[in-house]
Amino acid sequence: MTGRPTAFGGHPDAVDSVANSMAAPVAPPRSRRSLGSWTWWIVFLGGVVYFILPLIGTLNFSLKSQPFLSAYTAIFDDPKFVSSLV
Amino acid sequence: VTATATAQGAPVARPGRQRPRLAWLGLLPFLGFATLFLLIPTTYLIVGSLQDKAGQLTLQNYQDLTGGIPINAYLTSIEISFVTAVSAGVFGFLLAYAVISGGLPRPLRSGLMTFSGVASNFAGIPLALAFTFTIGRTGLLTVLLRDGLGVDVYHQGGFSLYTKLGLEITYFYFQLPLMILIIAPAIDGLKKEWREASENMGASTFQFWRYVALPVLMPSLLGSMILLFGNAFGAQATAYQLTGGFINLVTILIGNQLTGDVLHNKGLGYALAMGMVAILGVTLLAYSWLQRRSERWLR
Repeated sequence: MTGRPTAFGGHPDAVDSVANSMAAPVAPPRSRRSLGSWTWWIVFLGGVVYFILPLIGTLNFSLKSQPFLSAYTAIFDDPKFVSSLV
Repeated sequence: VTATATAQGAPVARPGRQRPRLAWLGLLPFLGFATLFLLIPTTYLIVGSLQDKAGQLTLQNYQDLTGGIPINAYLTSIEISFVTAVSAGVFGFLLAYAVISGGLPRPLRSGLMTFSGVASNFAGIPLALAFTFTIGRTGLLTVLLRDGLGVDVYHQGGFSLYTKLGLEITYFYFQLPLMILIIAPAIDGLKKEWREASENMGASTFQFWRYVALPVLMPSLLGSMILLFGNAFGAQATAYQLTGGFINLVTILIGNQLTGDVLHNKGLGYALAMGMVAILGVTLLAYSWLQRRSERWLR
C-alpha cells in the first residue's frame, strides 16, 4: 500500500497489488545465489593467487640483494643493458 | 508475432553486383605472408630432413625417428602438453565463467582479461625464473611453507620443480590465461534465454548443463584445449631453463640436434621438426573442425 491518492478512487491496494504481481520478477532463491557466488569467488581467488604468487616471488628475490634495490640500480651500470633493450 | 513481423519487414536482397576482376589482389598480402613464414620454412625443413650430413638424399633421418630417444621425447612432450591442456582448459573455463556469468563484479572481468592478455605471453626464461624464485628449493612459497607451517614439500612431499610435474605447473601459467581469452566469447554466446527456457520447463541446474550448455560449449572447449595442446607442444625455452634439458622434450631434442657440440645431426633435427609439424597440423585441423561446429551457436 502506498497511502497516497490514486486514480482509482480509494482502492489503491487492489491496483498496487495487481500491478506489483505483474511487474515484479520472481526473486531467485537467495541461498542458491549466494552459494553460487561463493563458489565463483573461490575459483576467482584461486586463480588470482596462482597468477600473483610467482610475481611476488620474483619481486621478493629481486629485493634480497644488498644494499637495498642494488639489483635494480645494477641494471643501469651494465653497459649491455641499453644495447640489449634497443 | 515479433518473428512474423521481422520476417515480413526483412529487406529484399539487393541484386548481386558484378565483382571487380582485381578483387583477388586483396589476397596478395596473405599469400606473401604464407609463403614467407609457412611455405619457405616448411620446404626448408622437408629438404633438410631428407639429407644426410654430406648433403646426399636419404630417408635415414625419418628411420631414426623410430629410435628410443625420439619416441620417448614425443611421448613426454605429448604427455605434458595433454596434461596442461586439459587442466588449464577446465580451470580456465571455470575462471572465465566465474567473471563472465558467475555474478562477480564487472570490473573483475576486464581486469582478468587484460591480465590474461599479458600473462599468456609470459613464458620462456622469465617464467622459469619466476617459478624458481617461488617454488624452487629456496623459493618464497617453499620457505614460507617450511618455516611457517613446518611443511617441507621437497623432502616430505617429494615434490620438485625440476620434474615433469614442476614443468606442468609452470606451463599452466601461460596456458591458463590463453584458455580464458579463447573461451570467453563462447561463454558470452551462452544465451540467458536458454537457461530461462530450461528453468521454465522444470530443468534443474545439472540438467541445464548436461543437456543444453555443455553440448553447446563442448566444441569450443575441446577446440580451445587442442589449441592449448599445440601451445605447450611448441614450448622450449621454459623447459630448457627450468630443467637444463634433463627432461627429454622434442623441442629440446631438436635444439640438441641443431646446435649440440658432440652428437648433433641437423637432418634428424629437421625430421623431428617435421614430426612436430605433422602433429600440430592434425591438432589444427581438429581445432578448425570443432570451431566450425561451435560457430553456429555463437551467432
